Amino acid sequence: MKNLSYILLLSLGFSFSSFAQKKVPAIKIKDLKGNVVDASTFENDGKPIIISFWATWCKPCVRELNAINDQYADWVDETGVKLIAISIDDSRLSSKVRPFVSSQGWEYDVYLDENSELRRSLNVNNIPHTFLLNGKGEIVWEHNGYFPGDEDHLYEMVEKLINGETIE
Amino acid sequence: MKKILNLIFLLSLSQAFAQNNESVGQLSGNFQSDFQFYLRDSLIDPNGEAFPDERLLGSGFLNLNYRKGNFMAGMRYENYQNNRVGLPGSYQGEGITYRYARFIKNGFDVTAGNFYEQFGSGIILRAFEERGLGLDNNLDGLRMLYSPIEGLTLKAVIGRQRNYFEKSNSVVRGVDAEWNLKSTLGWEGYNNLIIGAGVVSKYQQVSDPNLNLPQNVASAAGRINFISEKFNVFGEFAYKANDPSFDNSYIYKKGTALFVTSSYSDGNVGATLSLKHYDNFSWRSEPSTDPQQLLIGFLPSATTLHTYSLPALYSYNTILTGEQGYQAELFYNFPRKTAMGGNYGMKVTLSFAQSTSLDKEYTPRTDDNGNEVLSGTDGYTTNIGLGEFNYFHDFHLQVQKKISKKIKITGTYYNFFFNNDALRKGVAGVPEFALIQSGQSPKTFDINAAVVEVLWKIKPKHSLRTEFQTLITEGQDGTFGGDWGLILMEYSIAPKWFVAVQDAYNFGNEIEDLRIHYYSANVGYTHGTNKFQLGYGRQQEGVFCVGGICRVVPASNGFTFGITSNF
Repeated sequence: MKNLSYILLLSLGFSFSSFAQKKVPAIKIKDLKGNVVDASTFENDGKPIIISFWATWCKPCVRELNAINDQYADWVDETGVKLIAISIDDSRLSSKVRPFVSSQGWEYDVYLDENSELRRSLNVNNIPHTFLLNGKGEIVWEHNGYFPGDEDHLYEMVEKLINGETIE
Repeated sequence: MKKILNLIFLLSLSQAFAQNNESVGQLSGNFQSDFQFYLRDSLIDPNGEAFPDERLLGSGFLNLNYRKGNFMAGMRYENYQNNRVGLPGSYQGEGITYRYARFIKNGFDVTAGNFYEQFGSGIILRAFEERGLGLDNNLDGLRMLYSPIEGLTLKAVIGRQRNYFEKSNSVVRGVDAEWNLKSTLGWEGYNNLIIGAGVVSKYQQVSDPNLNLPQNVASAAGRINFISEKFNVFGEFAYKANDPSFDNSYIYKKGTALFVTSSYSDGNVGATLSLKHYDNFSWRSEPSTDPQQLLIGFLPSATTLHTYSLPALYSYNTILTGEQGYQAELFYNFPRKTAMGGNYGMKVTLSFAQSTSLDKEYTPRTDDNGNEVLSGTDGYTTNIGLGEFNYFHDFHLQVQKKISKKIKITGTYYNFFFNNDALRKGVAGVPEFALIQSGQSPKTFDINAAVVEVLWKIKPKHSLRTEFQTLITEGQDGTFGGDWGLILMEYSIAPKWFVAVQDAYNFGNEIEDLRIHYYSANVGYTHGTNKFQLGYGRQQEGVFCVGGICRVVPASNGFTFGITSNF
């Protein structure tokens, strides 16, 4: 336990600015065809990526993904952004994800994180939780929760990225 | 003094490090803290039983994750001073409950310390956490994953389970293999076949004056998953050796579990069909424990997880000692510009689920006092067919429709059958054998409920969400029960503010003094990745179901304050 507190101190001792930008770790998740995918390999030809953690039972999550879906075609045309939706439904509900996504008409890349391993490694506490990655795969913005209109704010961030502006 | 010197040394070292090396890795984490200040409310709690001596209670946690290249390490500090009313009282105090180091190299992935893991659908092994429910059964030990060839994943774990701030004395160990045939064999097209198998066993230090309890108990499972362009069929069968426990009344019967789930998706249509048959499959690392603790396996319930607050009062929870059932769901999206779909389309969900007891033939013995008891015997034999008791059914129909650019309506109707004795009276479900002996029948409720939700986008970034809920039942269990009505209004200004007010009215409670209004108000503010939430009011009695037991959270009155943060 004592050694641990040293590691903790050491970690805190690093000035935060010296840390690298957060990236997505090499955690394995599954796509809807059952294939194992390494989350660190997500890419979009140098364009931004939105990663959204959601579940079929989470109403604000579904509301957010539906709101984005209404404008998604325009977003892709204008900025080339890609949305990756990661479901944290456990084995009770994970088989529902594929028909659910299909009936919602979502065009997103959808993955399953059945035991929340990727969720935990990205410090996602409650869902929905949305990340924005720049073209280099660095997490430059994140947001927890959803209220109508948040999607417009998210898109402003995407546009900033595309225009080379910095994001607070 | 020495500590301070060490700290200065470390800080200067890290500064030097930082200047010489642009990238020292990534450090991130999250933080949550919740406080509640309780007010004495003689209406909801006449005797003051749910009014804590502390008056102010708070709990929270901080997670830290460090990563550099293929190396990761992290920890979680938890504190409960003391845990809030209704959450498990054994969470008291503070400490580091989770720490690990992990590296991934050439397909070999090793974690030393605390870890979470799941084999297949989790029937024989699922170490997981649900922080909000106070559930965490992580293992402390070693986890190794290896992928020798494309498509093949091998796993091996060994460790001891977390039990609040302690650890179980038992050792849990397991191996698992999963083979994705398409990946390995390079099949063309969409079709895929994934097969898997695992073995998990526990070593427990037990002694019993009357029974000869096994020290080592094994379980094993096999699974198969077929995936095509439109279909997905998954099935898992598990077996468990004799494992007498408090849950199963100390019987020596072997356990079995079967879970099959299939789905169909084609454009606007989606459907699922799931089947379950669980027989004597309470799987814990110790034979007698707090019912929420030390679960090794997880039995998928094959029911819908309801989140509107009134229907969620009667949520289902798998009966670990034995149950069977099915669920069928249909999703349909009426496209826009059609007669039913209108201008914006319409989404419909139709769902039915049912669970019943197993058809058991009891084989009791007569003890020294001349009573018929099950302990020490095989307990019963199971026949194919419906059991004597209906546990649950859930029919619901949901329609979502966007009326205009600004208004969206979701309406849901629910009809539940709820076996209160089986689902609320503890982990062993209905003490069916005692019921049959006494000729009594379990207490069951019929419930009808409806929820209408209206989302109104008033102007850009401003919206009002209103929920109208009602639940009608004659069922009453102690202070809990009867008819309810609820109105919730939530006004939000994205991306920073929300204000919500709610009135839940228990107008049909059998106890007239409890026909009262539960008013509450909440305001939340988001600043970057920090969220603050302040609430005041009466909260109605709630139910949290986890690990085979439902915990009733008593009604309370007072102020709440919560913070969550990510960095």
